[in-house]
Amino acid sequence: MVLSLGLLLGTPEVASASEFTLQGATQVSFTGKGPAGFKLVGTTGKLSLKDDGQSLTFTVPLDSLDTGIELRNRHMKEKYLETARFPQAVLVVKRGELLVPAQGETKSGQAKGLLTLHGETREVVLRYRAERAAAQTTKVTSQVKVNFKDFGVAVPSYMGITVKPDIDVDVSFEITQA
Amino acid sequence: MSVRVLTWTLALCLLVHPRAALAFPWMIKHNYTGCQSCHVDPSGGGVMTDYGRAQQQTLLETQWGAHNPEGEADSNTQFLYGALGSSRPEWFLPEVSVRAGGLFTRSVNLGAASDEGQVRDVMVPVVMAADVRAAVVVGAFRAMASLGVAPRRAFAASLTPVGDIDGPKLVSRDYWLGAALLEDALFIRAGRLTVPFGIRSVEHTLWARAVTRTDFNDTQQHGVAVAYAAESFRTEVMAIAGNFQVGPDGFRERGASGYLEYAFAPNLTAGVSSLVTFARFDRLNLEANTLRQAHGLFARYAPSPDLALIAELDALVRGSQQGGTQAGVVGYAQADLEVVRGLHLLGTVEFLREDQRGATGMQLGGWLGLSWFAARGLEVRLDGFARQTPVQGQPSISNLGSVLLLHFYL
Repeated sequence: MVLSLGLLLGTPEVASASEFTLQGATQVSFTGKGPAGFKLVGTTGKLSLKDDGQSLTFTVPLDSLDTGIELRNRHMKEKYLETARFPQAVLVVKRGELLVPAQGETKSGQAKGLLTLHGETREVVLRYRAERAAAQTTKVTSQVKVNFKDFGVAVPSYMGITVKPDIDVDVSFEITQA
Repeated sequence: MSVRVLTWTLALCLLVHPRAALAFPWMIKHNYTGCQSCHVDPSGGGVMTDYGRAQQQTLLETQWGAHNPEGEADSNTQFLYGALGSSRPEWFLPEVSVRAGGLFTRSVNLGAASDEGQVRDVMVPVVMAADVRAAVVVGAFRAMASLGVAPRRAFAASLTPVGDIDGPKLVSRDYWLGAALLEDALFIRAGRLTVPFGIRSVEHTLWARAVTRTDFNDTQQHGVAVAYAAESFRTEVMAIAGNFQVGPDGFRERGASGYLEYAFAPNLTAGVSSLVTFARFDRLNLEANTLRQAHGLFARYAPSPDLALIAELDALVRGSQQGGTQAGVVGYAQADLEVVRGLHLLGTVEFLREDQRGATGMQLGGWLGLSWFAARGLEVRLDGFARQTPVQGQPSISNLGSVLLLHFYL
């Protein structure tokens, strides 16, 4: 499972060492596509954030993913993501890559991060939108396209239906800065 | 048409309208907005793919015992409970569908001339469908055909000359050749096809299906259809050449039909349909030079994994030499609640306004149903229904009834 992050830290005086923390509900979802419009969507509300002052580390426990069909969940976790061996997806983004919009501002853009999934680490590019309505709270939505073959994940196929390796990932969360 | 004939027509139209295929729009509960992954027909219903058969085990049936620990589909999800084993080529997808049971209807017509005619009860055994179907899937090539026996009616699908509409006959409801291109996104077919319009479901006696003549029973037409399925929408349009299993040629409707359905979310779709046909003589309304149109909207929504809400609303326009131009409307709304895996409770309300055949004003109907996928290849279906038809100058005619069916799909 891939995380995508869309949070941008701007000028040095804004990108201080104040720690970022998640607040409220979070939503991480991925969309896989197959033949003739076939689509499967997996979601989780579990997302954690660690801020060490240099970079932000987002983590999703892959066992929390749910596609709505138990058999498909089991296949996804046991056969393809192998969550017993690789329980998490981790995205690390350097704070220097990020900007925080000022109060009342909305920022959109791209950022780079390092995604670790299924034991492989690759650079990914995220598109994001950050909206800061309140003083310290920023709403973030982000999208990233990931090819799971880049992470050594086998192509899912079941009874003639094959999921294409390009996956769309969407993330939404709220973040505060102390 | 006299009121007495109307009464019997309304009652008998509920008899022996076979439901020849499995088609479940409520699969949107499981985020299946399209049908092509489970069915060879790109718009749904009919022969199932191997994936579709596997979904019977995963999503359809009551779970009685331990699952296959590997999670793969049991071999007995295949044709005749896997009787052919590995000897069945992967490209050959056969099916048998038998649906039979009993039907009771009570027709109440307080405007009938005699006391005896005011309440009529009918209880009959019914064989709704007894069909064999098969599809061939080889690379991009697709083919499908069905053959069955209809003890009564379904004469528009008859392969043999029909002397008695209510007599037994050999039927073939659909057959076609086709090609699936662009990674199965584009599907081109030619043959006798279920007309693409509205929501395709097993409830073929719903007014929305019967009046638009877009059901699974015998309203299939010969023609060419093109279907396209993308990530967010699916569509099919058909050029209708007529039903060449009825004659003479003047009875054959020609025109076009199609739908477009858009998936706003994995659990929410909405669509539009349109149908226009012309026949020199309409075999059902017995009117000359009939231009028949239906244009409508439909939607499917699953607020939870256990509940699906389905609705359709169509405007009807019919012009003929005898009747001039008449407008009407038909629609229905249905809720499907899966109480436990495999056990569905259905509630349906429907309406029809079509000022013809003696009926005037708005006809209303309600259905309560229980559909139980009790075991592999077996559905038990129990429905209770009530329909009211207003008649000019007389009390409305009411039709009440229930039908119990066992459906074996192997």
